[in-house]
Amino acid sequence: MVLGRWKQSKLLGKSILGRSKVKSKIAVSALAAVAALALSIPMFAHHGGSEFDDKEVTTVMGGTVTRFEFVNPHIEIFWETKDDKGVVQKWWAEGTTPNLLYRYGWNKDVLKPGTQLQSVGGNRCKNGDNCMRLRKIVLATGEELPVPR
Amino acid sequence: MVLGGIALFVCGRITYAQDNKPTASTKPFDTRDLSGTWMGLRFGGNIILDGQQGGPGQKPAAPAGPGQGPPLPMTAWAQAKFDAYQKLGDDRYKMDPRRDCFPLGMPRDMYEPVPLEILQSPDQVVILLENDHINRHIFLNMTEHPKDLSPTWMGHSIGHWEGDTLVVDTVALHGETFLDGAGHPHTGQLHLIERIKRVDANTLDDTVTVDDPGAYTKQFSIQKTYQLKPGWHVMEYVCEDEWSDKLKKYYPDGYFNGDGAK
Repeated sequence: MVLGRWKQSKLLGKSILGRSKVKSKIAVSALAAVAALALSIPMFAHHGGSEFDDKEVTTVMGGTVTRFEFVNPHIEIFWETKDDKGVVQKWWAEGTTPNLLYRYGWNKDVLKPGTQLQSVGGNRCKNGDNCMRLRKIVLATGEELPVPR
Repeated sequence: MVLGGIALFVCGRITYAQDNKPTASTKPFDTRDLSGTWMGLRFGGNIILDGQQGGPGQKPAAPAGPGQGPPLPMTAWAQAKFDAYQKLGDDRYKMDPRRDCFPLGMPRDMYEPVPLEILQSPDQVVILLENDHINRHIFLNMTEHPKDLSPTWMGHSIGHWEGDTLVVDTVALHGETFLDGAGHPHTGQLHLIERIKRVDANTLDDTVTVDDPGAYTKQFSIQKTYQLKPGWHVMEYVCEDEWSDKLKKYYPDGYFNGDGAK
């Protein structure tokens, strides 16, 4: 795996989500349940980032990558989760510039469609949509992709 | 109404190993050698008003974006322009020179979340900004700015050493840019006194004092700390990519995978 060299335990050390305790669950909120019906999430080519709640971190468990854009100005990750009843939730996360992520080991292939996720954490969109500013991402293999601030 | 799943919200701030907290290096270094590739510790700069730091440790640190940072001592003109900009809400970006991929001006272009690379020669210090290939020339062989300078996006900079600090004077900035990501305006009278110091082997401090009587009733400073990134060089970053999905065709696989500069 291209990211096998990353130090999993060190990077996961500060996460409050121990790997052993976590199964693939879906994080759902009342607002997200409604917003999930929207297939298209409004995206701005570039914006100040003020639409994310920078006080709290939301974590979504599990999921599969459906689309990954590794381009400037922000990378974009699209993924889907499915709850116990089979209801699909679509999520979107925006990250920083690929220029920076590339230096931390990312490339266009790290999140190919179909990649299984363990968790994605970020600053949720203030309007409650299923979107966030990426802060942390862990693959189902347990490997964490570094997210520099 | 929860659809059979578990709502899992993590409250509070998670700290990651990537927080980039600097630790003072004890490695020997040449205090007048600023060369290398440097990365800001976080987006934006820290406002310093009346000698009191308005930023570090407080959240948000500084005007990386609208609504952030302490209120600045603006003139009536500047306050009106600032307020009008804030009122635009999400449409602010349409008024931002960045929207048309113009240079961000000074000091804002020093605060982007991409690295800068410093090259030095006896006559000048050149700062390469990864943000859209902008470069700054700080001329060391001039004691005065040329007369009748035309205003430009990045201005004209001259510098001299005072002990271990490079003191840079910048003028001739036209008023089309903002000082920062929050939208604080400036006039063509903007005059920046910048002090760049290599604090230790891995740390660069850049403090810019803003002198613009047309926009600000008092001088204030913006400070930023950069960390040395050995092995890094500035990479290609083309702002125009940001604005059109069509432009992604210029990347072989529709993605940017670095230009080898790392």
